[in-house]
Amino acid sequence: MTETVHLTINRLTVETTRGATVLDAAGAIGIDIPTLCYDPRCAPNGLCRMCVVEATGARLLQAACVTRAVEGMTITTESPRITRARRTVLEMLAASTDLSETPDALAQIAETGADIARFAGGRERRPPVVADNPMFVRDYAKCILCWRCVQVCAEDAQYAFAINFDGRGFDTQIATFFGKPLPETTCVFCGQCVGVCPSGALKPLRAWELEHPDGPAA
Amino acid sequence: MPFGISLGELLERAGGVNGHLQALLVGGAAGALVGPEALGTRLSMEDMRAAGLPLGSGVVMVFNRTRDLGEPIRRIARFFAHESCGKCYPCQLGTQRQTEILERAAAGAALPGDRQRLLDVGWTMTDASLCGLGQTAASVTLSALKRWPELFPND
Repeated sequence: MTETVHLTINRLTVETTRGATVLDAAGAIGIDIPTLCYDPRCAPNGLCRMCVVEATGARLLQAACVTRAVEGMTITTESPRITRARRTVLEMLAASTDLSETPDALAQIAETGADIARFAGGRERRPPVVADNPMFVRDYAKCILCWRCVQVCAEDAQYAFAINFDGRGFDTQIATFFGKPLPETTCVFCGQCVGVCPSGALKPLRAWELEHPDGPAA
Repeated sequence: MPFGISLGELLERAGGVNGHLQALLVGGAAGALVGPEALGTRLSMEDMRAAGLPLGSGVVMVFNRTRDLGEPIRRIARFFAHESCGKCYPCQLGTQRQTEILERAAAGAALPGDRQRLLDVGWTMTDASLCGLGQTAASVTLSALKRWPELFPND
């Protein structure tokens, strides 16, 4: 038997099944909570914090993608406090990486009135393009570190474990172990990482070549 | 030291302040900076909470007036940027931006709006980070912004 729980989101009463997240429950009644790293095909991690909401009784904002709906919970999805967090994350992200092919981020920047030049002048992540195989190109200057590629390469789908995180803090980057070219790793070229990439950082080689007639892809 | 003695008594027992007391860092790198007005505060859960101060690791660092407080604030900011694991966005990006803003202020190159940038970065990390590291990475900066606004760039 499926157990149901009742919660209040933006003053609306919602009934959902036990185990559902706040993001699921809000979506079911048409309340759109913004997300960047979240992909329903992958395990949620609460990384981008765009989906943060206020929950009564919680000291800090809670990421809706990983917060389970519980009986009697009261959620607010829009407030000045929430907007400040979302807008500031977008502004800092825009100063760090190339968001030109991340449509979700561009839409949220417009919606929150984020000033993409606000943190300009600081360090940016602009690693060179990696074209080390005949299947796809990795342009980590466009990577938003959503983790989806690492997850589908691991327990979310393929169990190939060819890629992982390198470095930490601002210097975190997706990489192969010891920075080896993909053909020398456990990569099976299934293409699932390319399929889940939300930011144009991973592209089929042919698509890359059409966009860059004189490009570096070999 | 017995739990519950005041910060002032703690300083006395430790031998007193060399010169004039400027500030105390209570609770460690994830703690808060306060001025001499806090000397009467007792080191107890209740009193520290009432004063809005963290007991944290219990460490108390004392600065006299010869010290530039900006220096330990920047050092702590760099520490958090180095320690951030890079998983959640507020901390991964915020510890870096906080450090950059503090360092350009120290170099006399503050930009208009930097004070508000520090507040927005600081509160976003505090409020939206995934773990305790990001949630306290701006604690020292925010406490100093409140107590010594003159240390920070103004608009």
